[in-house]
Amino acid sequence: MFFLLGLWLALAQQVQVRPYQQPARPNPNAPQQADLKPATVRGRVVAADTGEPVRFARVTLRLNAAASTTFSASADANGTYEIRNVDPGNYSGTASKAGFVTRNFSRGNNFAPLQLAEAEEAKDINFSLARAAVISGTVLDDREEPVPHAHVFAMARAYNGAQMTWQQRAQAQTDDRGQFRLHDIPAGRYYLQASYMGGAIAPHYAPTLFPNAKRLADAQSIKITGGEESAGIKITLHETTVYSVAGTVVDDTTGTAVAANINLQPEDYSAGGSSAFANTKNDGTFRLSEVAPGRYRVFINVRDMEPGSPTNRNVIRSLDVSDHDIDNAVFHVGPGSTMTGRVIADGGDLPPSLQVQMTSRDGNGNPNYSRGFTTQADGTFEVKDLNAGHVELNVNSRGLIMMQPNNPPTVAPATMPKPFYVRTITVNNQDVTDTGVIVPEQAATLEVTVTLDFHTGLVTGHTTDPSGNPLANATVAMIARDPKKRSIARYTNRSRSDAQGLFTIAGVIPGDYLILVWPTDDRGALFDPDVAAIAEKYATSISVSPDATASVDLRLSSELPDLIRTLVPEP
Amino acid sequence: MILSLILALALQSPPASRSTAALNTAAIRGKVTSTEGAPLSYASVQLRRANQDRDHVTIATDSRGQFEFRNLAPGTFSVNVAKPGFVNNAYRDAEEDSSEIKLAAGEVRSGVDVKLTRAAVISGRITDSNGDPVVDAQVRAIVKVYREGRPQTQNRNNAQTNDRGEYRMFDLPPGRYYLQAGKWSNTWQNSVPLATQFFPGTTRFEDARSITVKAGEEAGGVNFTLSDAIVMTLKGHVINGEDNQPAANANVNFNLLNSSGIGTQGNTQTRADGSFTLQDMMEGLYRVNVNIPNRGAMPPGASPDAPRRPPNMNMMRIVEVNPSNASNLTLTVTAGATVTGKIAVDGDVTAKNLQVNLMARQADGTISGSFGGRTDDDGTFKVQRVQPGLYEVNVYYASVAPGADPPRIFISSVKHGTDDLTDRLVEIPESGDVALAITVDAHTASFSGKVFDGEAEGDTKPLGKIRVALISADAKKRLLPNYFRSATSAPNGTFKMTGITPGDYLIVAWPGEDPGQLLDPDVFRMVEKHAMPVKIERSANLKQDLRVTPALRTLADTFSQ
Repeated sequence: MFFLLGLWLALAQQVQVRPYQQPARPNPNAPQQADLKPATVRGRVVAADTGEPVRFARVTLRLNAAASTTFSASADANGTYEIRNVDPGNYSGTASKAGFVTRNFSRGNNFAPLQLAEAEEAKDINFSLARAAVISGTVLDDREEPVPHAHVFAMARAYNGAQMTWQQRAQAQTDDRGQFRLHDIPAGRYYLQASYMGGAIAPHYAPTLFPNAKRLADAQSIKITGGEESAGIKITLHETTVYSVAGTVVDDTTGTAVAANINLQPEDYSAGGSSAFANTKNDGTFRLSEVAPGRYRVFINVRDMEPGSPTNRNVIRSLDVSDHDIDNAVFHVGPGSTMTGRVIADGGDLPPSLQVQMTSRDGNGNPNYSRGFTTQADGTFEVKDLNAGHVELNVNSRGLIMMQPNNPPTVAPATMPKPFYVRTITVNNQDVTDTGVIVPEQAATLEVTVTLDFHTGLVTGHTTDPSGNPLANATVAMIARDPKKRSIARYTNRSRSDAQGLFTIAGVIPGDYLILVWPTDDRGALFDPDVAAIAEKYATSISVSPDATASVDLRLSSELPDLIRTLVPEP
Repeated sequence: MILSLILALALQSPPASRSTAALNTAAIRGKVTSTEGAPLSYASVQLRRANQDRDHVTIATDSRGQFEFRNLAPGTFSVNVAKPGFVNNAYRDAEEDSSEIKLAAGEVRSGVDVKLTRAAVISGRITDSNGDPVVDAQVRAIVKVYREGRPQTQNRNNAQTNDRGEYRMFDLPPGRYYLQAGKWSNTWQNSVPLATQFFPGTTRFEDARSITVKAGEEAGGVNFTLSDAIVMTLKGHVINGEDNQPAANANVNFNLLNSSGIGTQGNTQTRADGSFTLQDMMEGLYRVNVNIPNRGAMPPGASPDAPRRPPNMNMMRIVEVNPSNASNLTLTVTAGATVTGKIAVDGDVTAKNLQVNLMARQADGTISGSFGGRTDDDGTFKVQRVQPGLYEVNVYYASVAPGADPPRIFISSVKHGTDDLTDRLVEIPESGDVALAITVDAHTASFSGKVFDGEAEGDTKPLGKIRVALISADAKKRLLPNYFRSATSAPNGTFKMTGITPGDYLIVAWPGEDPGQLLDPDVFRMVEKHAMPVKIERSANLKQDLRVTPALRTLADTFSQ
């Protein structure tokens, strides 16, 4: 046996790798090769709560310019590490250890890259890691029997704009005893969902939220702290009857059936719903089997369309599956709707061109359709081929950086056009300012009026640390004092203080607000009512009047960061 | 209760109208039991209509293990059964030796019974050299199979360790397994690779100890202590072979070659001077892919008449990486060689539409690369950009009329100039042209017969599920894929092989599991005297019955895996 192996290897070695040699002809265009002297990075990894070393933690530097170039080393039993022979450059650094939350290297309040010069000996590049947590338990069926191969997800609330969505932070599969272990999750508040993925030969189970709920309102959250294990979590999966859906796709332009590809996505999808695909036959008929009850968003992509047809190639429809097979579903495709409108200015000159962004989101709050257009000089606009669904409209003055609340102003205030806010949006004379535009399935013309109000307020001040010293690059967050307004994105503002701790928020809708220094980078956490309830206690009340400036100095609370982390897991 | 419902209206192709409803009255009935004979309730039974992947329905067996599908339109179906704690199984008709159920209109088929075997479990814990549990280690359950006479490993099941270092492999069919554990590393993970081991604690498969699990059994405590893999930092350069200049921004990918191993993978891009660095790579044999995005650019100073570079230059090499060359690797990307030739045919078949494939096969049997081309009407072919290496030559018909089987052929001669490369590997250099003259012959042979139990002529009991092996009598050809064939006898003992390459062979009926085992020299030496020598001529139809003797049974048990 072995001589044959040897024969193979002997033959294989004819493919040799030669040692490096100077190129045969020097190329005058080749870049100069200076001998770059490598840098060294040293530091320590400790546990954030006790200061104890994190033994054998792994530290990795990743080159910002080329993410596949990394330099790593393991710390010793003292948590001390050294990485040698690092190419000069800008890096992001992470430290990891099982049982701890991986963290990026950061100096102070921001995450500027670690800049390494040639031959630099960087030291005290230290990491402080929070302990991670475990959630474990069992998934059983209606008969209290274990369900193997069930997926369990630990989900945290995240916000996409003001819309709540699920962010999957960990997942695990159950074994033959129905047991699962979600590990290495950061401290925080989680919702658990159990589901059974399609494809296997098994009963159909509907996804369940712990302990036994279908909707967030009925679900029970699990709060967990670093180093803790929340054990014995029991989730029950219930069988659901599934149904078949058969029907046709009809093109309203021609009145005949048309071939299309159909994709069903659960409207209330949260990391586990069942989706279904079908391609119609060429005669436009389709059949889907084993569809679970629920409301679905149906994405239709028309395969053969006559050139020049006004029908939209991609169309979104909805479908409800309740308690019976559907034999005669008809999905209509056709031309999209048209939106005609104008923008009116109150208290200022209408900017010569405005950017209007239309965003549509899926059941999860994720944008799945976004389209922008600009207005004419007289403020009018027309948009065609709009797809059915719910659309948010956002209006920005084109090229005006200050309108994005996250960035500090970079242009001198005197040269900037006057800031504005959207006071009302009406569609066919109905106020949809805070509800968004509903584009119907049957093509329609929507007449939209957007009224801009230039009588905005300005908020300015200084941010300080808990001891009262100026705090640079701090995030300032401002929310409506009225809790009912907090789910509307326009009433939430964010800004960043500069190197001296000075911040400015412009374009504020006049009204009453709460403002504070926000200690984390979590975008949108404040839209979570539970997070806002905590923030309220550490915020300053402020009233903003039209065309006026309100001043307030803000001190970062030393207790707030940990309090936020009891709800919002760190990224 | 959902579970006592018997689903109606399942699996109709067109929506039923009143007039055709009468035709949809076929039914399938059966029972699910364990292999010990106990009825299994709440087993999931899935009925699937043939050739319609999305048209299936799943129901549960009742408290007596019984199930029924009603109101079916006629057609062909398959039935699959699963239950937690058991190995999935499909319904199989023993007489017909088929898993298809063909139903006529209104037919009621009973006795569609399925037996399920209880699954086995293997579990254990993995720690590292510091005594800490290893999270996300990969564990594999492997079986030994034979390819070309060499024992190789084949993955049957995978698991990963949790935060306590524990893994649990459930759903295992009972059998004999070898366990392998290790921890991957690649550029995107922030962890140290851990060297792969076979249980108990060895790096060599030859020293691994198998674990046998019976139905329903759990083998616990199959633990590992893994050490850091010996890793190296790879440093090298990529050179553009056309102008011998360093290639900037080339994509370099190293993939450890090991058919069921757990290894490392590294990707990076070369710097402006063509150099690259890859950290934490294990020693071993790698498939290296390099891609230089050229976009058809002309080298500076080239004349407008010079041939344009291809849009991308790709290279694939098998490279042995070890501490002696790890800091000094040169990867020269060339366009590769061109293999041209003409295929002559012997027999009543055409020389066009033949697919010529060059396959590079590693020592462990894995295919590390393959290049191919198709013949024109006159039998000429051209395969471009072939990477250097040693290749097997395969020729077969690429396309035939629908419904027809392609003609069976064998390669009777491969010549490179005056060199006779028939039944040998062809060496392809880094660049240039290699011209091959290939002759294929359509006069393949067939071999059929019946397998009987027992030595004596009077023993007339036929044996099904016996492997029949056809082994080359010529030791130099024995391991070549074209000269080894096997078939399994049907329940009535009959077997048939077609498309056989003529030559001198030995035939034997082997009561063991894997006929490939016979090519292991240790096994072959013992079995040879029990095999029957035959000479198979071109176009022959050899008919020969074979016997499974007590001596062969003893040998199969001795070598059983």
